[in-house]
Amino acid sequence: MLRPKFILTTALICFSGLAAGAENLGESAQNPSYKELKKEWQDMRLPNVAWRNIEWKTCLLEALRASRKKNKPLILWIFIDLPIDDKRC
Amino acid sequence: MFAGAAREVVFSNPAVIKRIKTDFIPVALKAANVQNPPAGKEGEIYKELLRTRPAPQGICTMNSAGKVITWSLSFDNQESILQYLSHAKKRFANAPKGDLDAERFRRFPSVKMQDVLGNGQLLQIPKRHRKGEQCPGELRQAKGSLKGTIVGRAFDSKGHPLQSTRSQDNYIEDVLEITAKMQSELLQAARNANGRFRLPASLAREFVANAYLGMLDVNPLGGDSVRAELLSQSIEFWAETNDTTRLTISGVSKVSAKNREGIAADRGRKWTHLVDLKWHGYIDLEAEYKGVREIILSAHGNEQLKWGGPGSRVSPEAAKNPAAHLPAGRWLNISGAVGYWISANPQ
Repeated sequence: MLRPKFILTTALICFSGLAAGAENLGESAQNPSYKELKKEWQDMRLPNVAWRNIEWKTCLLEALRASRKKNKPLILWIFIDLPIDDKRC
Repeated sequence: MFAGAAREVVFSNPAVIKRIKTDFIPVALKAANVQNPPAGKEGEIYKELLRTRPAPQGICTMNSAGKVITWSLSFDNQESILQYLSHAKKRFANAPKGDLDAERFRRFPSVKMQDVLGNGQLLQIPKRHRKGEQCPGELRQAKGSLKGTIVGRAFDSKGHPLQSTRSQDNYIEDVLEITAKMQSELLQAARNANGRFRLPASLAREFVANAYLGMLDVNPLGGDSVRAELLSQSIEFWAETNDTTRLTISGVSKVSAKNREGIAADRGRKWTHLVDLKWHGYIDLEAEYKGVREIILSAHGNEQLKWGGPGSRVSPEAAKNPAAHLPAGRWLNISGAVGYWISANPQ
């Protein structure tokens, strides 16, 4: 015959395990799947941000060659870290 | 702050973009390379920038001989930006390949500084780098690194992402570098794990260190490089193996920082930043823990950022006329829901 204290302790452990499982199920329902997350990333990254419209060169030699060929001056954006493309300023 | 302000105010302006694309060759250069010019012929051109610059950061124009035409740190107003471009174009037409004096403006056109006279030296500029020579402007990624991209969005009270993307308080993109060492530590941990295991601290920190809105100056984990004082940090990431190649990731992070104090050079810098996130995602590994194939993560939570305000050097006039206040930018006051998404894989 099992002791009442043992039964109570076991019951408590089982119930807390079920509760934790329920919590995990609730979290799983909220957390997107791998495919859903990939799509979210694609949706959140906007293709047409204004500052990406300028195609910045990073090589002065290449830029000066283009300047001579096209007879256009350079405009240089000098600042801490790279501004081009996807990098934060 | 200059770079973020310049991108938002100058280089996101449709009229400016159109003029630059039509009449100029646009080049973006690291201020560090101007401060410490690299060796070689390209370094000689960087030295010309160093010789003439009025400040470490700015917007400069240059002719085909590598001689500076103009510098400006800010502009009287939006219209002045287009006038600056016209002015530079006119001066270029008079001296496209020769020496000329470099004009410098603290604010174009109303606050002119002393010109730097041409030094009479014309450089022999090669058409391209020699074979095997690395360009100083090239983005360098360490061998074996995974390049990742992070996107960050602010949300309105109804849970919709804000659509204005010109400013970094609403929308950011950035690049992460998942080094070979971080990957190795992850693979080791996964190999030795029996079920759930803690993600290596260096990898977890790389995720969190890029998940914030705003410019580089307000990175909560930026430390001395952004003159920050870390107030608190809590970063906890867990991985669970569902099968042998896919890890399910969960995590929480909460970081808080402000401007450091007590250093004279920092006077006028005033900001606080709190980022509180809950993370979820997946890391796909190669079979037998031979490598990392892909990382895809998202984070949601709350962010509070204040930049400027009374007692700071950020002018309250900057909101009305941001072109005139590029170096210090404008006041920022963000408080609300945010989301971040990270994707990384071998290039």
